[in-house]
Amino acid sequence: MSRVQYKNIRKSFGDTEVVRDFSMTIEDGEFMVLLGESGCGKSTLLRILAGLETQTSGDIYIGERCVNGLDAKDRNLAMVFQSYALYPHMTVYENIAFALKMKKLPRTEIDEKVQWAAKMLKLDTLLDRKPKALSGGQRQRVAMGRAMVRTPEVFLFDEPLSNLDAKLRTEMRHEIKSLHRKLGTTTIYVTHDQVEAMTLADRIVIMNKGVISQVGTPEEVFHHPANLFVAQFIGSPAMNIFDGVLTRQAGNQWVIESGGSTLPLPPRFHAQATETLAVKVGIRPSDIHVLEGASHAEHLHPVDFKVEDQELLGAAINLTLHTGDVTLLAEAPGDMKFAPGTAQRAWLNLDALHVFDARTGETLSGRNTAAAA
Amino acid sequence: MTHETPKQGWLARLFNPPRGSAPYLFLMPYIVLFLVFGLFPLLFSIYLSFHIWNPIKGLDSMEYTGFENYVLAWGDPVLWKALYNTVWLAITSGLAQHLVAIPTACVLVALGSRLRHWLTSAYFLPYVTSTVAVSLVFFSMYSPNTGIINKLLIALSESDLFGWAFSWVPDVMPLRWLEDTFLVKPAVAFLVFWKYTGFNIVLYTTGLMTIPRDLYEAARVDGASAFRRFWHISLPLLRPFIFFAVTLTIIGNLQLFEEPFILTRGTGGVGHSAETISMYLFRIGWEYLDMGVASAISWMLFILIGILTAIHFKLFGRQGLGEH
Repeated sequence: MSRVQYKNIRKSFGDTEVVRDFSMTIEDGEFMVLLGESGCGKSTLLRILAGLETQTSGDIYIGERCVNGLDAKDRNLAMVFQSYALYPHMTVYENIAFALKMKKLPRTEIDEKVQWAAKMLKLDTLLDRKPKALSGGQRQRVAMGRAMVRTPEVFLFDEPLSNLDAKLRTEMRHEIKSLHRKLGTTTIYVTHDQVEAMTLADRIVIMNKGVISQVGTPEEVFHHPANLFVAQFIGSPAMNIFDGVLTRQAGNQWVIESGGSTLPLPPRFHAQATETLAVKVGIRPSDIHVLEGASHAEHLHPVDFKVEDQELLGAAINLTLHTGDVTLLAEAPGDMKFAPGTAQRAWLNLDALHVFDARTGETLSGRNTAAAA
Repeated sequence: MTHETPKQGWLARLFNPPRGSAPYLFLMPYIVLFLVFGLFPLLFSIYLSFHIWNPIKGLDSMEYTGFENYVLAWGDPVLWKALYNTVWLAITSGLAQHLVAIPTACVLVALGSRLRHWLTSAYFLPYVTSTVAVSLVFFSMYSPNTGIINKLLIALSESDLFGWAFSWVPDVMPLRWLEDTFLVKPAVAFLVFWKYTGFNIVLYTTGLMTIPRDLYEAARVDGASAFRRFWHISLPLLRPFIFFAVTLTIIGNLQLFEEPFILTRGTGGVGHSAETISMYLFRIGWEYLDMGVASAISWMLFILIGILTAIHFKLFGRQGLGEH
């Protein structure tokens, strides 16, 4: 187990710079998820740490050791690949034992460790099989077993669940989580799936075009996105974003004017409101309420909409609401009825309102400092 | 038959063939060629191997002799000498081909695609060049007094840098590569090695390209050195290709003919020292005009190839055919 440090890492392939000045410390025992769209450089960062790619500049530390230029085989990391990369000509046992054999451990010790991993991953009845004779989930387990027996300093996962179907993915997610709880090994996990990131991570690094957009706990990145990119990337259905103008009204009151309506600026943004400013306003569908019950609460702001469309998802209804030139998605309880074209009042939770500078895309409240919604 | 079929001429029948015969009619050109030039000679040579026949005296001279041709060939010490030569050449040149081709292919794959394409083409060139032409070139290279090989050896023995290692050269010059009974087999084997290694390199390069890159990456992360990645990943996963290539080598090398034939100017070398079975049966057939014995020998060669290939399949077939 070790702390991992990236220091000013840059990586270019030819003329394309895929990672730009990436610095990050992953604490000992932490489960860190690198999240981003394909091509954002997250896999490259993992491969640089593994020693499968060489950074163009910058330093990598594992523990206190600078591993620049150290070959992959000498870094004592274990990696689970998207394709699992199981050795097709070896049995499950041989696959799991391979790294130990490379270390030239005594046969009895190898056997002990393989049996231990197999038991933990429920592979003990499959040890004589070849990968070809295994299901997707079992292959995934073998790949994890192969990583586990090494007792490496760091576990690396490169989109390990993307080849599995939805049900198996959920199952394996739990297994990875419980494995990390048991072993406590520093883990870096690359994915483009926000659900995996939210459920697994101690902290999430959200990457955009080779740079870090935000680093934070799942709660932080969900409730306090630092910028528009994170706001739109995290959460499903995605956060509503609409244009507005931050204006001062009589009596030193700051409001956001948008599409003919006026929203009061939530108190936590007051310190940042100094001038008239074009902003992007964000609110999650779950923070727009259509039930009358809570209407008296102070932080709920009523707006009259027209219902454009509704989608029944079972437990909830995705409601498309329209007012002025703003269209918003709201989540309503599944047992309500709506008719397209009718008027509908909804209450926006101002505590959960996000305001971003339209020019820079950065949040007005300052990073991660806002009061909890 | 109750209803009357209209009378038809042969032309009408040809253009109005019976139902279901169309595919066979379309296949006819091939079938005819195969019967005449494929199946007939095959069966005829079996028939011939039980007869005495001098082709020049016409078909009437054919005379049934039973197994006498086989017995005759079996008792001929030259057959055994030729068999020894053939197997010697097959093993020496064949083994060298594969031992060189596999590592070379690995290096080529590591070099990246552009250089690999150029180099594989270069290595493949000998294979597609006329055997007669390259054999003639090698013939002149092996020449005792003017050949480039002896010239090179002499130059090396006279050079300051390597002279110490080649001091034996002046004592043995001129080396008669193709006349010396001891040197001729290696000389032939080298030509065969040179000509067919490129083919195997191409085969193995293709094979290596089918191995997924992540397996190597996984092995690297697992702590395997370059040699161990070759040994534990490349080699086992190349097995089907090795099996296929070795099968081709066995079949091809046992029928070796042109290279030794031209290098020894058709003589088979001094004291049959480089005569292969194919050359031997060629000589029996066309010099001694004994088609019966020649056919018998060719069937004995066929059986030998069959046996050796069967052994190869038996030993390596299951792994070789990819049944992990």
